[in-house]
Amino acid sequence: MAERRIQLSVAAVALASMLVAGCTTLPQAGGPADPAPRPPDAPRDEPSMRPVSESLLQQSRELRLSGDYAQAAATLERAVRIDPGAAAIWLELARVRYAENNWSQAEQLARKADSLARSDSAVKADALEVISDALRMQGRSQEAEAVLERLQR
Amino acid sequence: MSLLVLLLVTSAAYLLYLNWLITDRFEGRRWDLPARVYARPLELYAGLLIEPYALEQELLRLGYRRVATTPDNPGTFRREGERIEAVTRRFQYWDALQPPLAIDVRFDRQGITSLREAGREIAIGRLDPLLVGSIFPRHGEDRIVVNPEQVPPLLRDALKAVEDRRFDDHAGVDPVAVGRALLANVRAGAFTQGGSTLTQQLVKNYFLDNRQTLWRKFREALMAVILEMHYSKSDLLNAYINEIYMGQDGNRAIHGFGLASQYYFSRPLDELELPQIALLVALVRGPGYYDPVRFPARARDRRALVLDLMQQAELIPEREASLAASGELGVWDRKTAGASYYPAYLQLVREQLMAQYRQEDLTQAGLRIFTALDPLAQASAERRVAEGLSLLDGHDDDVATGLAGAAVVTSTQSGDVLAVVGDRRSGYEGFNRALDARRPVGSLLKPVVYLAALQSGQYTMASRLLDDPISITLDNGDVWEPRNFNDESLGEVTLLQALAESLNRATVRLGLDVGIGTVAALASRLGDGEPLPPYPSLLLGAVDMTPMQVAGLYSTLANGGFHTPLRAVRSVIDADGAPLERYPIVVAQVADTAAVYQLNEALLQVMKRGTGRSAVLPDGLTVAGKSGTSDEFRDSWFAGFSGDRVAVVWVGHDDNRPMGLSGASGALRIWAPLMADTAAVSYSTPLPEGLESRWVNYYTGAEVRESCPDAVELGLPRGMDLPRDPNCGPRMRDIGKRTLEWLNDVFN
Repeated sequence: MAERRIQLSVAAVALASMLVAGCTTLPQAGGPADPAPRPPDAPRDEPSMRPVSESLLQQSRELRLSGDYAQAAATLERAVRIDPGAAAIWLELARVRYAENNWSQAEQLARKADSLARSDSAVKADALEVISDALRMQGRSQEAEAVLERLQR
Repeated sequence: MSLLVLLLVTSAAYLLYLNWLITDRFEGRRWDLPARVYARPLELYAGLLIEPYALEQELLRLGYRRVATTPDNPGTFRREGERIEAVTRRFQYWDALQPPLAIDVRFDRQGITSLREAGREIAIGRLDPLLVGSIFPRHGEDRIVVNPEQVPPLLRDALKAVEDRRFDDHAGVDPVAVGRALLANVRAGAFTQGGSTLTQQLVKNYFLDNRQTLWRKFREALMAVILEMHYSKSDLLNAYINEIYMGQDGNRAIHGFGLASQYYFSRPLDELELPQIALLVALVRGPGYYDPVRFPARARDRRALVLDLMQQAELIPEREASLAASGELGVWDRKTAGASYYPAYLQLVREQLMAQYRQEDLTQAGLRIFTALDPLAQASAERRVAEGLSLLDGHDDDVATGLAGAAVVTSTQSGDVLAVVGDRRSGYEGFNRALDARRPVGSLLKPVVYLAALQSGQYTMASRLLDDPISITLDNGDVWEPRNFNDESLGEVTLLQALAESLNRATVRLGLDVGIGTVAALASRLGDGEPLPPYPSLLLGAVDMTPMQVAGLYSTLANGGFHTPLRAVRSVIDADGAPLERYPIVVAQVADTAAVYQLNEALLQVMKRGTGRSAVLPDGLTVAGKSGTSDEFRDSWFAGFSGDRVAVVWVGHDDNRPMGLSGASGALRIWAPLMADTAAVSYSTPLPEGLESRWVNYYTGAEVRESCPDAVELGLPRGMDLPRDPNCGPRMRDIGKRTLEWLNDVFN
């Protein structure tokens, strides 16, 4: 999935370079696979997660799959304190609430994950899916559809 | 004869009464356990930014004992340069019982590089949390109840050797000891010695009465005998160990050896060694008179006597006794250790718990309460408020002496309240300004006006508006003419400049345009939901809030428009360690993420160009903030956030007198060092969907090149038309790049 997106973006860049080439010199058109080139030191990228958060995240996934939602959530909150801006942790917290049938918190937490995720990340796509599902469970099908449209864009 | 019968019946009735009284007290007291309140546990992991020195301090604060060889007992540690080894204590958390961990922590200049447990690399490990206080009943008795197995046998033996040599043999009173005391008193011509057994002392302690009348002594003796008839020696000794008065800490009376051990040594009772055991036994005779902090010489002498008696009773060899007698008292300094009593924070804990628990549950049921209190942040906040206020006190002898202040520090995203300061004196138990002082917030509310404008879709931070004189006719017919701070109007300005420089007239214009009701409703949603009156003066912050409420509002901005209730308590477990309650993170989106993103960019400019520019912060730490000043300089505020911390500081007079300080000249001088101490992560958020980065002129909002003077990078709605700066406009090449990005976006 991610690879497909990158190929598409390379294609887009190539196409764009043909379109714009007439009026301006392009910097490195079609070069790196990053769809939205930005200086490497720009502070706007999703903060990378520390190994410890990865480990807590993995632990909480296992707890959720074994049905221990309270422990899963407690473990995720430890991770939140270490990596407060990591979208993947908030997404997993949304999944725990979803598993508990707490649709409104699932929706809100997934919205939070969405807001913290980088635009091209897998976490963002997953967050949109959880938002859409949680909306549907709350009987808000139209809003759910709208979110899915965002996902397909 | 009938008189004799009457006497017998009366005596029997009296004995029955005493029997009821003392057994009731004895049984009932077993359950009177104040809730224990713990600070956050320190989580250790590779990548944690902490110096070896700071971890060492944390261990000392927790009462860990330094050893010379590899530590092998819980509560011990060794530091060798950039390596710390420790054995943690067994601890029951809300989510798990953590057995002792033998950890090996390595550091480099950044912080922890590796964490190993029993030779294996582990991802994370918790240190047992600091016990910071308890919720004790109004009468002030606080205690930690210990089981017999938690009591060092040496303590039991020492108590007997010093206080009651024949404890194992007598029936509650000790005629030999009484006789000896009587003789000594007659010789001295005064009451110098008591012959009370431990049981008698226990009875006396139950009824807390120091009058030494003969009748009272007799009654005590009777009750002691009754107690001995009902209960075993070991039950009695354990009750004594948990009951006896051991010191005073403000309003709080320290009872029992369990709490005394924590209070004097920050260590559980079962980790105490000979010198500490001897000191605690020495205190029994007069915790005030032998107070090791106030009267160290007396305490040492008394400890030496105790050690001597222990040696005579052949409990310890002479060499150990003299070694222990010559050592330091080793009482920890609660103040400098940053582990003093935190009444301001505890008030917040109580308020949060009162919603769910009855007062009795908190003071009697032995609950264990896990809070978010960060002792390091709390110590820093206390120090910064105290130092800052002393500094500000000096700025104007007439109006600014005796200033009051308050501070709140919270964690972004999780809503954890890390520190609460309600007074310049730490440990002060009176008026808690952080929670209870409702004061006009002034310009702290301006960001809400701008957020409402951004959310309306009619404005961006690059939009222009007029900053010129404005007059508003109020409902009561009065005319309101807001003025700017320096009484000048700047004419046409960008929203960015208007907010960064806190221009009143421009803000009022903007607020009237988006609607006062809209602004009031948004402010209420961002904060704790309390409705705000929709008067025009609201636009300039003529609304009263507490520092804690302001922290709530700014925390929603720091969290990108997601409201998370601030919380002091994370979880509660019962006396047996069973989980009772957890207060999970709850989020609700109350503002548009893209709008909050744009607003926060302006709050970053406050620190670079606006009212916060005088702040001295560590290089590379990016923070957002806003000053607030109320009419006639009665309140000085500063609020803001980094990537990991939200902090709010208020300075003013309790009686509302003017003090001549603005937010920037007052509260900011406390806020900046507090932020420097507690924040480690710069504010940064990914650019929201629908926005793109553009460079604009700070004053005109026209598009410029990055290298132009006064160029500011802003996130603006994609594809938005911007006037080009005639002198320093963007090159075609940049426009081409944007078109490229736009196309890329379309195809994705």
